[in-house]
Amino acid sequence: MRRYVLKRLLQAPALILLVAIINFTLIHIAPGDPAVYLAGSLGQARPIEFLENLRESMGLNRPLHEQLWIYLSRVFQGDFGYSYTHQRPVSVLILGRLASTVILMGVSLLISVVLGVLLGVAASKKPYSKVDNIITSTSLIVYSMPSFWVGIVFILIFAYQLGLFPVGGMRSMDPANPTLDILWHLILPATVLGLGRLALYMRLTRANMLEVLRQDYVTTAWAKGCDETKVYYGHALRNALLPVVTVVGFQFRFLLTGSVLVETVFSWPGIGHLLFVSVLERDYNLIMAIFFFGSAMVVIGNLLADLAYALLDPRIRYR
Amino acid sequence: MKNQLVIIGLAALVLLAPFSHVNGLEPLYGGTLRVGFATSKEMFNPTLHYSGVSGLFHRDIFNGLLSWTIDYDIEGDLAKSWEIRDGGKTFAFQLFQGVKWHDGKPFTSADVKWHYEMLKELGKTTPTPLGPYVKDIESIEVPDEYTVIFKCRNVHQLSDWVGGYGDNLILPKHLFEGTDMRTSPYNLKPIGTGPFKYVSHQGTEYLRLQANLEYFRGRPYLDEVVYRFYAKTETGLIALEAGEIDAISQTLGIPFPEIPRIKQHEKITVEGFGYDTVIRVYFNFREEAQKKNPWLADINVRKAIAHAIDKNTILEKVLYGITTTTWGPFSNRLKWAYPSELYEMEPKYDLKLAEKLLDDAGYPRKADGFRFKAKLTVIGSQAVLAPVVKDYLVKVGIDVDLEVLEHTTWLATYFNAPDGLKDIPLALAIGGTGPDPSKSGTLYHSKMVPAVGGENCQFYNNPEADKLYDAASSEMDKTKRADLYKKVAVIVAKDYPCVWLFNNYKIEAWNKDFMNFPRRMYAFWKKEGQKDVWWTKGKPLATTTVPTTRPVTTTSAVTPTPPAAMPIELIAAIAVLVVAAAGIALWKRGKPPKT
Repeated sequence: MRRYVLKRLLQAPALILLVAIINFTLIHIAPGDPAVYLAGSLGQARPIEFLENLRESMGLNRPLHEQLWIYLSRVFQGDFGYSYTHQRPVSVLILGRLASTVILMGVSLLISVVLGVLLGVAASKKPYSKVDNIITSTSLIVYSMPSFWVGIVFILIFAYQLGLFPVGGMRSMDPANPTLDILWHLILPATVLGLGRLALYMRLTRANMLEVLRQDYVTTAWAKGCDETKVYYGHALRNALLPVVTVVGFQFRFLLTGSVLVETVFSWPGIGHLLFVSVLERDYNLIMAIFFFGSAMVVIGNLLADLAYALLDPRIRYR
Repeated sequence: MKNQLVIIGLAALVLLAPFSHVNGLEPLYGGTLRVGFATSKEMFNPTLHYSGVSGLFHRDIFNGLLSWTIDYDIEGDLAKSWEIRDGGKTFAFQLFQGVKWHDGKPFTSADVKWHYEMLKELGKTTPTPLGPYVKDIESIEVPDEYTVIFKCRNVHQLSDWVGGYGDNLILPKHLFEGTDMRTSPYNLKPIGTGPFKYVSHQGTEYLRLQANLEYFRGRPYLDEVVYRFYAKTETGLIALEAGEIDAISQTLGIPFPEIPRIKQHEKITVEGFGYDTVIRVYFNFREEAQKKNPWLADINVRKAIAHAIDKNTILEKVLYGITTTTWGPFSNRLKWAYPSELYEMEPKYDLKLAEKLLDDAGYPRKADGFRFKAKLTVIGSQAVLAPVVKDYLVKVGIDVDLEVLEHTTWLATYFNAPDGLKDIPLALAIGGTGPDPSKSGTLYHSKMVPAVGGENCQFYNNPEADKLYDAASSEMDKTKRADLYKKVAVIVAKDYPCVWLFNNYKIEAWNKDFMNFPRRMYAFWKKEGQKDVWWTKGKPLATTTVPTTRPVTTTSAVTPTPPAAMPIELIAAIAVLVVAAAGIALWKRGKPPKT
């Protein structure tokens, strides 16, 4: 197992490097650059030398391969560059929003996985029954609704009409209890995000549970007189969770990259919205850094998923 | 009788005086204004942060030398007076005395000198809007603490010193000199001279400002201003209706479809206004485009297109009446330089005339019903208007192929590219003429092509217009300048290089508990931010103090109160006066005449 983990960790840098090169190329293919955006935001004519000076200060007038080399050598020294639109180091910008992003995405992931799995198990108990049909169709309807629309509806109902939650943001000013205040602000956006992915985990769990429940060892468990909880949660679910773990591994990157739509609707200060705006503003350094961390999270997430496999299924051994 | 009238008048004064604040007669002090603002950067240095959305709150904290008025005149901000010498090469500013930075240090001419020298240096590596102008400064003299004299190599207009995008706002020399501006802590804890001082902020969630009680033009009415940042206009609007904020700034606006509903709201006022930038459809005069689309060269075809677009209906149905139509190379908001003939010249919507002009020009409808094809490239911000304009042109037989591009992509593809619009015949975008008509020269002077950084990406060329633009740029007398710009506006308009549609617009909304809110001018141009806004539930000055720290809670309740109704005491006072006047009149009538 240790060898396996070490092997995966050694492969990770190569994978991340490849992703960084692809991202770099794709970003530079898009028309415009930060200089064009900045000059355009001034709303007036700019002399060509102004744009040229700007490009020179950002290193944009160098050949692409040179820019890539400079960028990669800085990144491997921990320097992710400077954001010309924010006028601050990129690492400061990302770190400033990291906690808020992880909180939102982590809680929403928890909601979607826990609720999704529980509903999947409930639906699998009596397939095609009324309960199963209600759970399946409701979760599919919610899954089909765009998250930004659900977000606005939630704000209108729970914040505006009922006044139970704030309209947006992450914090109030001068709250009596800052932690509870953040939790209060978190409930709506985390729920919207969690509901959006809930159907995925529900369907996955249900399908796998139905498969697993047909296995001989489950029949044996019933025959031995195990109660429902032990059969479903002790024996069947553990095996049915393997595909769910895979999907959670893939979703891991969202812990860092956030969700653009929900963060925008709820004005949540996360990295998702930051990424969206940086693409519009052609803030190359910021885009690259977010993608870099995102790809690192994918690698880590997949590794954790593989390790979770081994925990869940003792038959799985890595060499 | 005369004596009785005097007595009644004096009584009215005494009885009505306590109610003079009602309905905006006399502002009150106190309160916190919570403003919904578009998501901004966490950067409060206006020199480094030249993004459209920051214009508003920087003007609460900082001042510049000059500012624009609502009528696009120039007024002093930190400059009390000024002199233009040497035919526009020397500008001497006399500064207000007694101005202090928020940390108590005095503001002097040394700050202004340092600021402009800093801009000059900074401009070598970092772009700033004033860069091209400060580069031309030869020397800055400060003969005393309140006088600063700029000597330039070339002639400049006073408007060049007004600026507006942020770097015209003076920074404190004593805090920035000798430091690396990019890493200064004062980028996040700004110290200015403005009517409001920085208190705190939380990332890009909110910014809290407090009244500067020692502001040199008198303290603001409000105690505090809090900017809450929203990424989506819909969320901001819900927050306003829910009472979480008191106003929505023009940076955030409100969604168009909500305008009619919000206008009916009993507690909220909505106002849109058009400002000095013009939304236009423009024609490509590049040889390449004209070869491929020969109809471009025919002025009657261009006129036909102008007559084919029903601006008034678009204004009413699509833009909900929030702006105004305009015609000409610069906005009709610049009244001092706008020729009245252009109001008559503005083409009326006339489909029959448009069809006739196209038929007479040699472009009859073919079997498919179309006369010719035309590609219309559209910048993302005008995506709302694009299909509407297309529909009007299709009605007169022009087969329009729409290309809507995201903002930066459009700039890179057409605006900044050396070949401008390339061979695309039509474009729908904004012409940023700015608060001074001289800026329209960057759009219509033949020399101001993209290759030199100009905005004439349609390659319009009229030598007569060029001469007038050149003459106006070096004319220092405002009346003569106005005449020159009026002439050039008519000449350019007669060429139909564009179908000028509307003044670009902004929308603001606010709770009726607050007065003096609407800007009706672009946030960049207005000085002093929220200084003149006041709260109807405030108090007269003598009874108001600004607390050092305060929770922001109660200025607008979750259920905002209705607009101030006339109080019962006022009604009683008026009733007393009316009865007294009637009584005196009756008594006089009953008295026998003197003999």
